[in-house]
Amino acid sequence: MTPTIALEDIAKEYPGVRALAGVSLDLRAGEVHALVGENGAGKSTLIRILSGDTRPNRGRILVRGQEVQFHSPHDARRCGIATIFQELMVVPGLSVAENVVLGNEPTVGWGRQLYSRRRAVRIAQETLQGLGLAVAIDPRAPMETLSTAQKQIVEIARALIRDAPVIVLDEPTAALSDKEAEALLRILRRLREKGTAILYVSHRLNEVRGLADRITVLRGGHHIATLPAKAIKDTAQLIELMVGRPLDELFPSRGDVRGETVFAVQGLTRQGAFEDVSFSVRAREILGVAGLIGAGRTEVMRAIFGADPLERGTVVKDGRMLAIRTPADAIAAGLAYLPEDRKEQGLVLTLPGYENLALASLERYGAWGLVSWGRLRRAAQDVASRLQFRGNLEAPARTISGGNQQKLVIGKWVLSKADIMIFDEPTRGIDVGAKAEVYRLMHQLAEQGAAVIVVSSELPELMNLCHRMIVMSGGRVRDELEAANFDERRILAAAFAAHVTNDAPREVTQ
Amino acid sequence: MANSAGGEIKRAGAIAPRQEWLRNFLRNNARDIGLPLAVIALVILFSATSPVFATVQNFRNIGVAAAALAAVSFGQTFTILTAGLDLSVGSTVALVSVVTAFGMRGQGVAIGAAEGLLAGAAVGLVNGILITRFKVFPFIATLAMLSIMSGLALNLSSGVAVSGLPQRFGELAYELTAGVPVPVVIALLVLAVSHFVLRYVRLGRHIYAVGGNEEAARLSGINVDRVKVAAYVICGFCAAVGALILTSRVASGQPTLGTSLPLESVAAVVLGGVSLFGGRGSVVGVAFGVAFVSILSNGLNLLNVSSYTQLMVIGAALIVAVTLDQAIVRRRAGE
Repeated sequence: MTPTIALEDIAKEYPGVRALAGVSLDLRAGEVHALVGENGAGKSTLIRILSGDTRPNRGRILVRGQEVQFHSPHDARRCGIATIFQELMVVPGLSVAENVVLGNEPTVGWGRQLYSRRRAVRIAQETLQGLGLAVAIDPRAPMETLSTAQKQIVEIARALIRDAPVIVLDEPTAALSDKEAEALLRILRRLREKGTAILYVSHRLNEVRGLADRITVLRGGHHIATLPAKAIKDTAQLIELMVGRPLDELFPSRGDVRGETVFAVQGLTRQGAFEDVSFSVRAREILGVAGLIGAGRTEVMRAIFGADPLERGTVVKDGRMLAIRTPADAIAAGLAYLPEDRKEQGLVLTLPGYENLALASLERYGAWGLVSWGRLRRAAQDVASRLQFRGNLEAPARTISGGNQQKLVIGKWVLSKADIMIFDEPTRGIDVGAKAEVYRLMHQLAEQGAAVIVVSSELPELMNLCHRMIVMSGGRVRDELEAANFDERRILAAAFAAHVTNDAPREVTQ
Repeated sequence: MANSAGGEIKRAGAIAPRQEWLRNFLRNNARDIGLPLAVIALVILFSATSPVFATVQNFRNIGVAAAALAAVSFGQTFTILTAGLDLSVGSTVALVSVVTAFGMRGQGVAIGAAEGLLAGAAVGLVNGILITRFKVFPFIATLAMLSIMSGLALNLSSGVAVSGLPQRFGELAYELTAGVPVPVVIALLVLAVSHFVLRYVRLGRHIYAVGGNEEAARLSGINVDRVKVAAYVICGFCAAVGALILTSRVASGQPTLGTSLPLESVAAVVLGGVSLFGGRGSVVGVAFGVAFVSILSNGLNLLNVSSYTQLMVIGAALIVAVTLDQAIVRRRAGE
């Protein structure tokens, strides 16, 4: 049977970079085809070509056997390809129904010019119901009241309205909790049954193995392999294909050379976000902070760092109480905070890599308020090589791959001589190989004397990485465990504590 | 990690090394050399079409005419780099002109000039406070200040020109040092200091960081509010320098001076490659932007093109320049 979409020998070059070198791929009706690979492997480029955002330098695109040329995303959509990007493309000011029918508004009346809201609501209602959601989304609700996961579902509904026979998803579960991701996967399975051809790009390899029928691996712009999912015995096999060599150990071995308690917070409270949060960290310790999305972990860390206000509570470092009102205060006290969203909050993408590295320590590279570029560059190069940074330090940070961008953020805090490092979701959106390097760096920082706090929603990551863990739920600390006692069931029970008991659940914002 | 992810520089085909170097050079710098090339093209064009254009005296005229706009534009660069802008520069110039004139009339050139510069900086300070403490959008805050300062200038001068300035001051605009008109020297000085501050002073780097990503800058310990206020104070100060130049040229304090400066300075800054979104661009580019606009109007003048038509030509040139710039950016991104 002719595949719905076939890409033949696609090549794409950007100035100085060969993004794709002769990649062939096909999508069949009623099948989920997964695409995996490290950052820089060419996945995003392939998606942009499929969605009509850019044109290949070489190669053919065939829709049901006919060759086509996409001059714009509009052409791709007209051929039936609906693309759902990692960044949600919803209009927050409109209602759910309006978003669902966006571009396909139902019209009535003379010349079919009058927009029919009633019909739009009905269409949206039917489509959303067809997705088999556990909890219904009200089509009349304003878009901004929806959670990220729900917004994603609305985007899928929009794709369905067009009866898109082909749906391309780029990292759809990156920002979703496990439960929400499961709901999304159920919807995708249902679509598969209906005969939709689905291209699914994700870093979550276990998820991919559970969902896909076939998996294609890209590496360095080349097509490495396309395998039926059943043929893959374990995730390590996939990882090795992606990385090109056997991956001995994702996590460095966890020694125990922990020192005294160097950092302690007590009774941290901000109404509506978190309450009575207390914990401590020892030198050379990696403390994990587990919990569901919305548990208040990021809020606590940002408040400790001075980025958001703190109503009550104390922060003590090396026996001294700190008065932190702004990030500058926190940095002066030796704290570092790597934000969840490194592009939005961690880096100035227009500035070159070396300047980003120096951003929190500019005063060290010159006297009298001046900047000595020579000194700055040397310090930047030194820390970059220590972190095994790969990329061009002179180029703007936006041109650098995700894993290396994260190294820039880490390097920034190394240069600021911080000894309390707070990592917030440090491996989000980073490929497997880069994750291993970030874990190695965290261990290195700890071994060199820092106290490391890691907030993460990936439990396996925390369980393998940390010496100790606290679990938050509904804005409070529910449990604390040493590594020897790490138990998935116990941690999950604590993570769900606020959702299970009638504990006056708070309105916790993301 | 043996296998590096992404960004490997590969030879994109078999081209002779020198050709490839030229291609890469053009590609990386097209944006930066495009405007200077356009300026050179204008000079060549007008030299060919008008016998008077390529003379020393004419270039001096261009310089004097451009100097005030240049000073104001360099100041405007600071605010636009922080992703803001200052629409009140025009009335700041008017206010400074009046304040300086009164000061010079009463206490001499030096004191009068100092009072004027201080007034300009003070306007900038008020702008900065409105934007940072009261969280008013720069567009609205400076638009309101435009109106307020204009009214203040008119009030102070009772609506008429303030005369009686020391004759010495009025002559300054027409004097030469080493063959270069004094206003041009002043503008070049502002250029040099601005470039130095933006490149080698920590505050300048903070300005780029705040404009490039305000939240990231804040989380890196930068006092964003203080940086923004500094940018507006600098802008006000540079506007005051421009006002001194203009006041000298007309040898009086004029409460209606500089009304076209807000739009002209923003145009020069944008032409010069500074992004309105902040965090990108340099004052050197802005200097070429000012040169482009000034040479264009001077050349058109010499060709006896009416000033009405000149307005149209300059507007059209701005559109062409920005469109070309966008096309280059898009080509560079490989579309």
